[in-house]
Amino acid sequence: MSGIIVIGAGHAGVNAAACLRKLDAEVSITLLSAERQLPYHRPPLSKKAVFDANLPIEMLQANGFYEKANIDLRLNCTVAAINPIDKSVTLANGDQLHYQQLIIATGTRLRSLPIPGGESAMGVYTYADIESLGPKLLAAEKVAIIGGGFIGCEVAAGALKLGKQVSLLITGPRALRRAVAPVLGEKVTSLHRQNGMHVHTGCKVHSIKADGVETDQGFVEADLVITGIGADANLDLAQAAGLETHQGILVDSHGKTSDEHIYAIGDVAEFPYGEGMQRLESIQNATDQSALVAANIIATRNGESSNAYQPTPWFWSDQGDLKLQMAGLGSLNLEHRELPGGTDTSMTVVHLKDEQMVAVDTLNTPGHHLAARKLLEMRKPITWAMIEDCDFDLKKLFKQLR
Amino acid sequence: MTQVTFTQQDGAQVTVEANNGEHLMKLALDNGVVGITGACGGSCMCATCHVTIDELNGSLAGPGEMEAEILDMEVDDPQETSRLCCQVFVSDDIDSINVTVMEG
Ligand SMILES: Cc1cc2nc3c(=O)[nH]c(=O)nc-3n(C[C@H](O)[C@H](O)[C@H](O)COP(=O)(O)OP(=O)(O)OC[C@H]3O[C@@H](n4cnc5c(N)ncnc54)[C@H](O)[C@@H]3O)c2cc1C
Ligand code: FES
Repeated sequence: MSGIIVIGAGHAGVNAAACLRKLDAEVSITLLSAERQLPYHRPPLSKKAVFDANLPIEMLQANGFYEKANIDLRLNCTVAAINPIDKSVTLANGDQLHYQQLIIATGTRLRSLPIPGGESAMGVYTYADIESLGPKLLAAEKVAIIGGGFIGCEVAAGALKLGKQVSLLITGPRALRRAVAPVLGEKVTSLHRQNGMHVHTGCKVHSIKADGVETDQGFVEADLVITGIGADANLDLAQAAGLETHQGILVDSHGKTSDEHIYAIGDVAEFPYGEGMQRLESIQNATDQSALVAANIIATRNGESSNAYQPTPWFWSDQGDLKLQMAGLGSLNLEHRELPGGTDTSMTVVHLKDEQMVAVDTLNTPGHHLAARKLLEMRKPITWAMIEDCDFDLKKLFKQLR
Repeated sequence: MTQVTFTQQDGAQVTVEANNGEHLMKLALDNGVVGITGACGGSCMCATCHVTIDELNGSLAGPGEMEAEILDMEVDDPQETSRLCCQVFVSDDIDSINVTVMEG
């Protein structure tokens, strides 16, 4: 009997399989992973594991879980093609497996640097990456990191804590340019600088040599070069199968692709959000979307109606001693106002659209982050005036409204 | 070595011997304790590792700021003894600890 096949055993794929099993004790579940490792958490890779000589790995599920839950997890098993006409997938070894429902959870892959020597720079995405990068990082004295996004900043801040001489090379005017409100990006950049990181902003990288990086601001010495310049969705399988794609695999609000038997979840899925379409790379999205799609598939199999995905996005990033937390989806185009009460190392910034709170970025103010998450989940209009009336205390506002 | 006992919502118990430095969320996952998800991987962000401490032989520091905030805001019915077990680390100061796994 064919059942449900999940391609990709990252955060989304594993959670989908686990949720499917919770909802249906009988259905056959096959989880196909291109990686050799038992499925693991990615966030600690750039926050902890790569700096630790023991290269710790944090499993998503215990060793015996898959067997106990009767989930057919196949490691080192890459899917080569999806055949929607006969509802099957072809594995790299030529085997063919049939499905009734297919979930694509193939995630993203790191962008490579299209410059001379770019192929020698290493990125952090998989456990295999840190197995080769970790020992080199511990041995290095001078480290250059190209890219001022979350992962670049995390690796740079961690390397600095290890006592390395760290250069962070950023094309934009500040770190986290697209990810957080400008005033917060500036603050993070200057805090990293105060800690001794050499942050080069507005820096164009020309080539990577054995002893450093050639840039338009001169030569930056480094015995190890690491990149963190973003990731692209793994769309190949979906495109070859004729599914509709854009930045990600396009799905409707219920998680279904343009083929009614195929769903997409996690980093690879682009779903309706607000007035447009959105692809998110976050644990929140991988967790919530996979749980919803699992429930929708079981509902559909039982002839029941399914539900729409209405997330409240959130994300975090640990950079040395800086804890950044984002609730809602902010944007550079919105208005940004800082809440009073910030300190040298803490800040809360509200993203506003027409005087209403859309998102909140926090630095070392966890109470505000959680309150913002809760307030946004209520889906009620929260205006700046309401925040002001509560003495700029988001927690107080939440407790008042709940 | 510290002896850690998890009591699941279904009443079943899992007892393990743990090494210094390990946190209880990892122990729970590695030993298949039901009810601990650990969605954020121990980053103190998600509250899917909520336990109450029933018995403690030894000493343990209280929750930090972030953990206290999560317990206050995320957990529906926080108890006096509630903890996020990804923030509870095994050490020489603890001979044994018994916890009950809470919902979400
Ligand atoms: C270093 C790092 C740090 C991060 N930190 C944070 C953080 O602090 N907070 C946060 O919210 N998010 C963070 N993220 C993002 C988060 O990890 C991702 O959003 C999440 O892992 C997405 O899960 P996924 O299952 O969609 O994709 P992935 O985790 O990418 O998993 C996809 C899997 O599919 C497999 N696959 C691809 N193609 C095939 C094929 N053809 N056949 C079989 N298998 C295939 C891949 O090998 C991979 O294992 C971080 C990511 C990285 C890399
Ligand atoms: S695992 Fe997320 S808060 Fe403990």
